[in-house]
Order: sequence, then structure tokens, then C-alpha cells
Amino acid sequence: MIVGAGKGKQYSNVLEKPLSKGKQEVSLSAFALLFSELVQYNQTQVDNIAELERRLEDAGYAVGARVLELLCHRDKGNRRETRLLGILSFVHSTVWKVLFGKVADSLEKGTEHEDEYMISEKELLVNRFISVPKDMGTFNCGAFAAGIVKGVLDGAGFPAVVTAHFVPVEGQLRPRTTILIKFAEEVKSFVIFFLNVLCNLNWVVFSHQLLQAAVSNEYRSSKCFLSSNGYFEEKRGWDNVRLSFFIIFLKTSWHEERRYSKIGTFSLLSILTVSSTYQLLHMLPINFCTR
Amino acid sequence: MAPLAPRSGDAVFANVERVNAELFTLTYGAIVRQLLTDLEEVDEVNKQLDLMGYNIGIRLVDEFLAKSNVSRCVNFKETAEVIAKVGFKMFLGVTASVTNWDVDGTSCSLILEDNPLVDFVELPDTCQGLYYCNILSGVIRGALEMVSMKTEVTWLRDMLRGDDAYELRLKLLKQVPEEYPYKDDE
Repeated sequence: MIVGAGKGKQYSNVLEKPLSKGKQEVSLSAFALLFSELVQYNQTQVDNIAELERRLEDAGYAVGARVLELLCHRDKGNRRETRLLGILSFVHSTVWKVLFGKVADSLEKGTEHEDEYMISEKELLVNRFISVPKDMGTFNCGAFAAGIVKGVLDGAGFPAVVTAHFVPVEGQLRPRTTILIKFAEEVKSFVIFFLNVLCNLNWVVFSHQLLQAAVSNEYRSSKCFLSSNGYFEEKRGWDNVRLSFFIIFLKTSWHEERRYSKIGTFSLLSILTVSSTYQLLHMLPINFCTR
Repeated sequence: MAPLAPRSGDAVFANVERVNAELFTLTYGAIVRQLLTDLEEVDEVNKQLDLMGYNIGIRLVDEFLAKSNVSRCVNFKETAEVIAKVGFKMFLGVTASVTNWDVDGTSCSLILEDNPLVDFVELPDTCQGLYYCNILSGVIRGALEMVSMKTEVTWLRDMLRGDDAYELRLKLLKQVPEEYPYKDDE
């Protein structure tokens, strides 16, 4: 019934259609006109600037979430970045290059807060043909790009608050756009830290898969996990993740002691503690695992 | 100054700035999704998309005329050809073909084989009445209205709805005589 489209060929399902290489282009004006309609339409739906930015961010979020899926599938063999800096540079270079045709001008770490990062762009594509009227104050159409970044980060398991700001630059008429990324508390927390430690160990084949599954949103929705060794056929949520962790830790602590040297003391401690008993794992409060 | 020779769609497209079609596709998808959430009724979404297209069309025609050097078309047949071969190519990077003329040469079909708007798209059961690409018909209507042609543009075939191509029916309703917008004594 539902048919995907392609070069004169029909597919019974959009999934059957081969994934394009992503080389197709449209004119910049076509995009600019479309984007301007998006902004104008949303202007009719809101009564204040914050709301307008939020709606643009929502639209961008939808784009970002899909771009992540698309790029991971096409370019990275279905692997996702699991480290904070990895995902940031993925956004800054890969995503930017695909969407805006160039790598972003800079990626910096915030000086005041540990968990803040900034991506700056002298002339952001979406702001190219936009001039903000005086009465709209600090409104920035870059909210759309911020939404894209948020979509990518969220999809990869690094929830963050992302906002776009104009920053005046000396000797330049137009301000540059800075996208400020402030990661959510839990990114720094135990779970992600743990997952990253696992990623560093990176020796059990299915620990990686598990990691992929766990950092993606799947662990919230109790979907099935399939491990490479087929031990767990239908897994439901964290019980099985815990069980799998348990096995990984057990193996880790018994056979890979030498590798501990490159991991911090805390992680060593936590692995040993956790691996000592499955019961203890069971006592992990579930809140640790959900956002 | 002698008028410049009209340029082909390919030549214009090669010279304009371009962006990745996926950004365009996904952004359009985001717009349609937003409309579906806001307006709820599929018919309303169709209307809104058409309106957005119209707004784009009335702005886009300026750029089209400036960059393509196309001069006045002698008849509607030529107009349709120019839209299909130059207009579509210049903005979307694809071409359409023109067929199915009626006897008096006032309506025809534009057939699109490749359509950058619909990559990654499938219509869920709840949106079967949606003309996903309705923005395109709006664009054509808006652009033609700016060059004094009242037209009606409708979708005949839509691959998202199970047809084998995208077919737009273009119907010339009325050719508006050119009028200056001001009077002599003003």
C-alpha cells in the first residue's frame, strides 16, 4: 500500500529503497526559502520569542535525530560515538560537513563550567539570509541548528541543553553564532561513566553491542537486546543489562587484570565491587539507569 | 544592451550555491510534521503547505528571472517547458517532463521522476489524504501568478500514495493582462 519513491522505481516499503549516497544537492535559495517559511509559519503560532525559538529547536531536533541515524548507518557501519569528545567532534565535523558543507569554525570547551561546550560559526547557513528586526531582541534562528545538535546528542545518549547565541565579533558587521551545549547532569553520572569504562576495555565483543544498545534510547523502552553469543534471547530492560554487565565484569576482573592500570581508581573499585556479586547489581537503584 | 541568451537549467544550477539535499529533505519533513501536529486535519495541512509554496513561489520567481535570463514565453506550452527544464533544475536539481497536453494547449502534466522532497518518507495510515509535496504545486502557482498567469495546480499521481510517478496537473485559468499598479495622476 505504502510506496517509497525513487528514480522511477517503486518499492513496496521505504526500507527496501537503497540508501542514497547523500551527494544530491538542491540550490541554497530553495533551502533558504523553505526555512524562511518554517520561521514565518512558526511566528504565527507563538506569542513570544522564547516560544518561537523552542519551536524552531523542535523542528531542528527532528532533523538531528534523523541525521544521526542516517550518518551512523551510512558512514560508520552502525556504530555510534560513545565518548563525550567523540560525539562532540562528530557533531562539529561530520554532521556539520554533511548538513552545511563545511566543518564548523570552532569547537571549544567552556571556561566557566566543566560541562559546557561551544560550537561557533562565523556565518551559520540558516542565519545567512536572516536579519532579525530590532523588536525581536535576541531571537536567533540558529535555534534550528541548536535543535539539530540537540537531536544528535540526545539520540546518541548524551542529553544536553543546546542554545544558540549571537556573539559580536570585532571588525565584522555580522555577529557570529555560537551554539552552547550544556550537558545534562546524568551525562557525568555513574551510568555513562561506567559505559565509557566498558568502552575503553573494549574486549568483550558483546559488551560493545550492549553499550550501543544501552546508550541509545532503547534501554528505556525495554526493547529486546540480542547478544552476540545468543545467551539472552529476549531481554527486558535493565535486568538483563545488569546480568550482562555482571558477566562482563566477572570476566574482566578475573582475566584482564593488567588492563586496569589505565583506568582510574574509582572505576577499578566499582568494577570489583560490582562484579563481586550479582545481588549487589540488583540493588542498584533503577533511577541510576533512567534519565 | 542586447538581452542575454537564456541559460539552460544545468548551467544555472552549476553556478548557484547549493546545499545538501538531505538537509532540505529533512527540514521539509520537520515542517510537515509540525503542521500535522499543529493542525491535526490532513486537509488543513494540505492547504497550509500550498500556501507556504505560494509564498515561496512569489519570491522565487524573481531569482528565477534574474538568473536564468529567460525572456517572455510565447505561449503556455513554452512556459511549461521552461518550468520543467529550467525551474525545477535550478532550484531542486531535478528535471520534469511535460506531457498530456489538452487540445487547446491550456493544461498539461508535469511528471517528476526524482523528487528530493520525499527521500526517507512514507505515509502512515493516518495521513493517507496528505499531499506530501503540496508545497511544489503552491510554488508553481505562486510563481506563475507573478508573471500574470492564473493557474490551478493539482496532484494527479503521487508515489507516496502508491502511484508510479509524481504527476502535477497544470491548468491555465486566465492570462491576466499586464497593468501598471499605479495611475497616471498619482
